[in-house]
Amino acid sequence: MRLRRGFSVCVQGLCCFQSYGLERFRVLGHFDTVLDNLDRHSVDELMIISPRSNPVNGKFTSIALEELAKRYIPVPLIQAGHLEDHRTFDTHADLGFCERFVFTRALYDQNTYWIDRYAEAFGAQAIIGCFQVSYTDSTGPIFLSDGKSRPLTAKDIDYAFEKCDEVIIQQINRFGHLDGFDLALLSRVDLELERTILNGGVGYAASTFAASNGLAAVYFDNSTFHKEGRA
Amino acid sequence: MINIVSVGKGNVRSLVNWVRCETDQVALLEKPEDYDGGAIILPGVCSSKELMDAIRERGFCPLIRKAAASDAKIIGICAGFQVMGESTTEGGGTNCLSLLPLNTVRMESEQHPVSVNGWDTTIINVKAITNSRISQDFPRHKRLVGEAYFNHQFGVVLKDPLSKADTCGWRGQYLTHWVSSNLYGFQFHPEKSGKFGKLLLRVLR
Repeated sequence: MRLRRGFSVCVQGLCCFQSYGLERFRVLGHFDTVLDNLDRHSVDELMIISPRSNPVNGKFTSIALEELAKRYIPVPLIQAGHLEDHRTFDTHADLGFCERFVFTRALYDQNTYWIDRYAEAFGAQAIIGCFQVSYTDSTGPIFLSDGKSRPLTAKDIDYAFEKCDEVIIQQINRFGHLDGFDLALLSRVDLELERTILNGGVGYAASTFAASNGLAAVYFDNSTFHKEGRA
Repeated sequence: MINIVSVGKGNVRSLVNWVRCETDQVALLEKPEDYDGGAIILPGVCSSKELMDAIRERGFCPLIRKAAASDAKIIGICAGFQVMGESTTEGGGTNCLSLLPLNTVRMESEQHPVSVNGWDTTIINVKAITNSRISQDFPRHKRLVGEAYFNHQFGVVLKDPLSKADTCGWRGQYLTHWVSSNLYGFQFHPEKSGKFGKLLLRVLR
């Protein structure tokens, strides 16, 4: 199958914002702007992200999810962030408007309680693992989750591909950077490329690499929808 | 009325939003006794075993079989398509609705489990399917062609691999769809297949 070209959209409620690394954000506009531009950008899938901290200082609420659920979204919708609580799970199980779910903390803690619950409700094909990675040549890949960090290991990667249908490598320190995804990161980890998705500063170089090396997908940052001048 | 079987499994709200692009006559069917005629959609985005167990526990099997026999359209999507067959091996396995001579098995390539995630060109040969209402849905089409969205680990195979089936389409050894008489099964997700999905809204008429 061809490379999927998706978009990751940081949202709080129905407000979108661009993340620059972990702690800096800029408010961009209404979520409906994204939906209005899906066709124009030939979007294959849409990942909504609720980062740990954000400019609206909150997390997904049931009300926000119910608002999202009212909208016809003609491509698969994927949620990342704040899935691991009973209220969010119940809301998803009641509404049924997301096609896939992204887990980071479960991989960091190697605890599959929530992965198993979502897989039981939505199927194993719906489960995506995510490595939020900070990378420089000197540090190597550092795995981040909920304010904690440690080096990303081969054991982490084996665990993720065993428990999840696909795995996102999300270069968190390159979010919001034009064509910023550092491909050198991929030479430091041993991935099943056909089940790997790249995210975080993905641009021309990363998407070209992904297409020519048989990766599953790339997700561009959401600022594309809001005319920041990127490809 | 378009009735979406709602047994606590699958992306039923995504289906409601898709159907509403065609008609406001859509309802979530939570109990068999609430059915008052019309098409029935069996949802996907779940395990076929979990979906079949829930359909059985909620008492939907007699209703779905009766509706299928009485010429109501039955539209199965992904796992919903899989439970229209005779059995699935997912989650330890179970018997299914037996509306179609199909079985669901774990997909493999060179004896390794594989999954299918993404978009693929899909062709439904309307004119070749002579025994179906789909020719009434698309009277001016010889075939329907478009990119469809797939996301599954288990695939549908013919119960009799040697049987001739002009009612179905293929991706490798696994079925992409089956259309015969009033029974429509799609392994892909029309509700998430963009323009191709909007074209397929006509099967709801």
